[in-house]
Amino acid sequence: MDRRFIPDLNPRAFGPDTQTGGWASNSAIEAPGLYEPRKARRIDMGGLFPPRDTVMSALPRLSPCRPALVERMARMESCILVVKDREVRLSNGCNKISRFERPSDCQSIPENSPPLLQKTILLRQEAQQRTTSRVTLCEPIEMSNEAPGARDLTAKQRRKQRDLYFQLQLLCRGNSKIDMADHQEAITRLTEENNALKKRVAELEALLDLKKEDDSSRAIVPDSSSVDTLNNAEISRYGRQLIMPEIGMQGQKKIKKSSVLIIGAGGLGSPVSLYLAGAGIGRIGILDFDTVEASNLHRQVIHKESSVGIPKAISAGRAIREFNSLVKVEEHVTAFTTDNALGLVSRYDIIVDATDNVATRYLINDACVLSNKPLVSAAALRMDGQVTVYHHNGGPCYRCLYPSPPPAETVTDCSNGGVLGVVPGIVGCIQALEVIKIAAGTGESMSQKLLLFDGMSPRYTMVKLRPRNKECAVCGDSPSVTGLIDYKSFCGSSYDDKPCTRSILDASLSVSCEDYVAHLKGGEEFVLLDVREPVQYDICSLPQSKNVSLHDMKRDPAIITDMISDKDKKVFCLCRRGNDSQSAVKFMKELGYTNVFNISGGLSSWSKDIDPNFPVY
Amino acid sequence: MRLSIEFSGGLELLFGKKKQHSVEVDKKEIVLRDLLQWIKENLLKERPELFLSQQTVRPGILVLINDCDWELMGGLDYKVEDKDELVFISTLHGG
Repeated sequence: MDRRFIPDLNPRAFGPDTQTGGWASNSAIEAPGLYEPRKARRIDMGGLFPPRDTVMSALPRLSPCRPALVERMARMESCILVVKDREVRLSNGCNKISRFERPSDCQSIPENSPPLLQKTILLRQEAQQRTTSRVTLCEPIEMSNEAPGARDLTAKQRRKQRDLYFQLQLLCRGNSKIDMADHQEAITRLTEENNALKKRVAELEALLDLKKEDDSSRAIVPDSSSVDTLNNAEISRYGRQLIMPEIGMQGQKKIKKSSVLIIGAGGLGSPVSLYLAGAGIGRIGILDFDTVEASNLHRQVIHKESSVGIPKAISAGRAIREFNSLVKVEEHVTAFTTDNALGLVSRYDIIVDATDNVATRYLINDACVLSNKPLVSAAALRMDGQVTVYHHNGGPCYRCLYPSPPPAETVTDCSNGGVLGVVPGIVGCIQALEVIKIAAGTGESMSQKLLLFDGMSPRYTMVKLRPRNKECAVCGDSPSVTGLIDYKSFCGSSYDDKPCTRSILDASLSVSCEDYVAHLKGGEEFVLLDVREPVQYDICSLPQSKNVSLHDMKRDPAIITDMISDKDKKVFCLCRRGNDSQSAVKFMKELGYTNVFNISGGLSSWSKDIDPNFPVY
Repeated sequence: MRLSIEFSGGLELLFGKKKQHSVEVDKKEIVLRDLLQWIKENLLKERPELFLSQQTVRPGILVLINDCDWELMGGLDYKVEDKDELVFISTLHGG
């Protein structure tokens, strides 16, 4: 069982917590009604019974087949609660039977109602509510010490108890339509299914063995799965594009024979890899060093919630395999660097630039030019997208267009500028189209053309670009760049768009979040100036803060001088990560303020060090 | 002469967040090099260093004249004509 996909089955969620003496629970689900013997000397019947509504809603669903399973659990647990005919007793054979002290609560329970376990009720409830991620359960039950409790179970018994619980949970979760009352039936059916599957696996394994033998003899006689022909599965899968004269059998064979390296499994890489796999590109390499984060999912649609925390290349590779088993996938969990660039590029026919930073874009361009591979490139930010093809059919390369990199401070990335998820989706799809056309050798490529997409207007503009520049440093007639260089220093930026913290201030002008909190308690008057853009301030802010963005402050210093007339007043500047606030302190110093401090690390540090409930975006 | 000037890819932030500008340039003839200065004096609202550097546009800005790369039109020496459409676009890097 792969626990990763069933996070609720974390055993910690169900075992007794030896440290607190209570039952451990995890964040996904509160510990269901397993109960812990406490030190109470008498049974507190008031807190013992689950809410009446719970009992009443569960009762009609009980069937005679359930008690068997439940009894089995009861034997293991030795402390399961049984309610029968207004009586509450322990199911472990203990003779202690107490009358329910509030009989009115149970008056409407039919006299002939079968034994009922609180746990099963809760499971029932959970099964009903499994669409919601959190289940609210009744309060823990207090038991007398006289009854042997879970604490007395041996480790083996506890394991067994947990395993049984897992089985029960799986039954409830596996299929919401399973009525708890039909457990027995479900178990029988699942056993049958399991046997059938085992049989099928055995058959397939036998086939695989045959195929292996076949493969070894195939060196002489090529069969239908050769790269030069299409087999029946491929013909029916790609039929709709095969019948297009623009693709046809010859085009599809070329697509099958081609290999594509997608650099970046993010907002662009997601649609590109899916559509290339869909079209039947024979071999797809997907490269990314990064892991999936929740903030990626709005645009990086190839990854799922369950992929958060795992490498993007692995997650994307898995998605591609699930989507089309006929294509070969190669995952590269690595950064694209000067060390591996040429080796990687040489193994593929077409390269896709789906990265997010300037340094990697120059590196990819140079590697493609040096290896003579076409480069299909796209970029997206906010509502804008751009797509083009470099170093193909006499067209320019990236350096022909942009001989020198932009100053680092003019580059905005998705993490700072934002991006609407569908925008990289749109340009990524166009990118995939360009790759397919180059692979199939059909249509007119976007070489020497640049598509500008403006999602706000909305407008698609195709512009004509210059041809290859004969003076170009890398693809020109006498290039000065004949091998890969140090692109980080060339661009003054790193190979990723990860947030970085700059330090432009003297250390004495910065305080930590803790220092700020201490100051807050000190009672001295001050101004807390949040210098983020208003759109970000709207998301979350600290109490008492005033919002003047760095941008506005620089544009119109009067906003600040009007707001804080006393130049010696104590001012703390705050922003998202502690970069803009440093610039703000510097700027205010220039305006003559003497008592201005930067809060280091900004709100992300605030969330990390002071208030974990403060949102991070 | 009447010109349509557009800034995009984030450059519009330097021009009062306005992308499209329809302007009347009070000159009979002007080359692009001089028009850049005219734009700096008349349209640019802030941080000129993010638009111009060394008498031309800063690296990373592509200039389009009537949907054509300005390199194809003569670059800085292009003689701007009435009703020309000029686009200044900052290259994007996100993905």
